[in-house]
Amino acid sequence: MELEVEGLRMVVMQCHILVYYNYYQRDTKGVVLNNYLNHLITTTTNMTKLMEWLTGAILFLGPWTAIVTTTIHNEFTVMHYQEILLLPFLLVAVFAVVSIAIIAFRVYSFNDCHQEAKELQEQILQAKADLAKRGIKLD
Amino acid sequence: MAGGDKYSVLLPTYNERENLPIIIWLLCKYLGESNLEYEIIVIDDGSPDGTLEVAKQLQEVYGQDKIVLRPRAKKLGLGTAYIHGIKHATGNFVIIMDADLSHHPKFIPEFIKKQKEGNFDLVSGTRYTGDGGVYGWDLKRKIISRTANYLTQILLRPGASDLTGSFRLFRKEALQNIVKACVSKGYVFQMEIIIRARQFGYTIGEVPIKFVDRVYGESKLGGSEVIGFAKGLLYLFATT
Ligand SMILES: Nc1nc2c(ncn2[C@@H]2O[C@H](COP(=O)(O)OP(=O)(O)OP(=O)(O)O)[C@@H](O)[C@H]2O)c(=O)[nH]1
Ligand SMILES: [Mg+2]
Repeated sequence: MELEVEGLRMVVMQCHILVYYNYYQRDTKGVVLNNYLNHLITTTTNMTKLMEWLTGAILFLGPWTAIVTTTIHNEFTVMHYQEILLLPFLLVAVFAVVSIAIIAFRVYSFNDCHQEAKELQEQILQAKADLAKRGIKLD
Repeated sequence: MAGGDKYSVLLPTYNERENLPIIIWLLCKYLGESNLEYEIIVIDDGSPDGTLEVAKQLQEVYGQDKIVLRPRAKKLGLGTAYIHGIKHATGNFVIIMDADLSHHPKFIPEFIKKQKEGNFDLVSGTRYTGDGGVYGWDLKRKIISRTANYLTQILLRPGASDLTGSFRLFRKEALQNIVKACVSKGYVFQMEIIIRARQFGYTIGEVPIKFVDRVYGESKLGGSEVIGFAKGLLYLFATT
């Protein structure tokens, strides 16, 4: 039995590796993982992004509503009712804070290409001089 | 060294009289130095500032094989300008870029190298990773740009870091297929290009670019651009 599970795991892994190398090996490093997961999700479900989000929301909020309305209840849900009740709001808050932090950092670390701008200015002068020699007058 | 590949650069212009000679001079410099086979296709949409007259002068200097003029009578937008340009492109690769000097031709040899490295269908310039960056953006513009990019990454998971940039290299058939499938305009059109490319199963490589905001002419980023972008993002979110 254990061997069978192990075998199945190997097959699944092999498939993933196959997809990975055939489809995304040629991609840039930074986006490989994103693409790979993306590829798995979009090719297996063929949903629009909106549908993916709705599906995710239903999968999460369905059980949550059942617990909050005590349709489902057991020792665990009764003991942690407060925490479960607040969970979605907490997740949204954490996501918002993390997002703002990421954006702030990216704004802060956005490269300012002063050198590039200077080089371009110089090349504009060169181009104008050269073009003038070839009979194109620029103002 | 070219290995049989030819590169067609599509330059859509609208009121770029001052920028056009410079961008063409730079293109000829860098592409010439790299010994590439190339042509520059200028698609001018009846610019009232006389861009086309300047283009004609440049054609006399550089030759009709290098500078190809495919003007249209009136301003019909970027998307159709690309379609119009591709029809006349004789290369097997097409490069699209802005004529306003914000895209420096020196990156093109890097795009080509990247394309060959991974045999990519599309190579996209990116301002948001590695050595990429911008010049001439104030804090407000940086915040808007980073936020828009972040939202796009979360909602669309496009597998490319710069969706709104328009400095890219394509296999010609890939660009043809992609552009035909696109419905949006403006920034959203550039974004849709990447999304449709993924739908076609095209591979995408990225090269960091340094973007210098236009020196001559007006730059625009107002409330209406932001609203248009938000609408377009939601459209792609709901339909793709
Ligand atoms: N043929 C053609 N070219 C266009 C049209 N609209 C814009 N362009 C050109 O497309 C390129 C990009 O346009 P830009 O006006 O720079 O747009 P942007 O970079 O989003 O905005 P800016 O901040 O103003 O630089 C430039 O080379 C323009 O001249 C059009 O309707 N037809
Ligand atoms: Mg521009």
